[in-house]
Amino acid sequence: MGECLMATIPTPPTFASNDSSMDNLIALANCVTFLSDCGTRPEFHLYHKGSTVSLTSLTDKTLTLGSVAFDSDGVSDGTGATIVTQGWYDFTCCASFTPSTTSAVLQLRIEMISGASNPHFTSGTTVFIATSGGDAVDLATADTAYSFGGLSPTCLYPGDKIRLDAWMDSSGSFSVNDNVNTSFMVGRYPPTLTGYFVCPGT
Amino acid sequence: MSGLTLPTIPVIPAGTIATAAQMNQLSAACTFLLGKPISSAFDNTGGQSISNTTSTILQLSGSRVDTDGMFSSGNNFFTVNTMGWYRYRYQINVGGTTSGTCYVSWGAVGFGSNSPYFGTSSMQFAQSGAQQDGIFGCNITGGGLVPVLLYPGDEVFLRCKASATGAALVTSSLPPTGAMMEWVSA
Repeated sequence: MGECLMATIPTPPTFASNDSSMDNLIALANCVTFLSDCGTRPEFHLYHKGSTVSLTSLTDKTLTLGSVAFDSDGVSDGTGATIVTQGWYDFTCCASFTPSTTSAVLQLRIEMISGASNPHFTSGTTVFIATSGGDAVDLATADTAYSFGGLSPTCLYPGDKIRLDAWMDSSGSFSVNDNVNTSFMVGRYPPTLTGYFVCPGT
Repeated sequence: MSGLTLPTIPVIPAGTIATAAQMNQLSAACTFLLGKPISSAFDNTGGQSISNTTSTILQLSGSRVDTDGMFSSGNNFFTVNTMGWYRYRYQINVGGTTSGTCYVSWGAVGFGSNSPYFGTSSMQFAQSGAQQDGIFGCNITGGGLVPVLLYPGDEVFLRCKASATGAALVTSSLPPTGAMMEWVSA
């Protein structure tokens, strides 16, 4: 995991008549910075780069999103994200799976694994944030692709982990396509996970 | 509930001394944005059937976060309290019974009396769909910016229709059927 930066959630100041407090002006500036600058407010975009990842039937497979496009709060942990700043978060993911001519069920999930600081769950509890899936495309010339997201089920706390998991039933034979950039129907883009801080909470 | 107050951004001409009131208006704008309207509601009951003859309004029975009182237990929709553009996102979890049944879902806006569209038909947006597996069901997700400025009293709800007699919604350990709304801008 990268350096723990932890964004500071600002507190809007209250001004009195003839107020000459520089601290109050700085507090106001900090609010604007937090709200307008995605380099300050926690936001991240992670993706998978490298070898193709194969799924095993009836077994959850955590996709490794070890590459970082941007990460303002140092949440990247080599697999997914570990939350640094407490708050409500929204997540979006996408992934495409190699073609299979066998009719199969394929599912992609954004999951949260609670850390020791989260008072809403016992540490290590897996909670699904969003799921998309069903019967996969059974053509040899087209990927099954998912793009979806969701709001965290509770306010997230430092140490909560965010993961992207794939699952297929026993009849499937899928692997995650990396971006080979040779076709519009197959292997067009890598698996990605994006998240951003929505608002403070407990 | 009357909703949050949209902040007023003051105009402070060059050469003037900003008043406390003006500075507090700026501070109030930041307070609004830090705690803007957002609501997430879900179905923790399950068992609702999806019709193949008419579209079904999906039931919502609980709320996780609701900073502006948009969700009320007993309603199956969000009621807008603060005017603005909103983002809407939803997920529907269908159980596994008959393989091959297809589901189509969408968000819909019912316009209240404050809206200039009051009296017109509901607006549909963010259509999605999936095909059901006989054992594992299917998960349908969708969402996007509600394509119209929302006014206090407007209602936003989730509809779904099946291609054949539909299976019941499930709750289980998956994220339950539900939806969320997030204020984006004035």
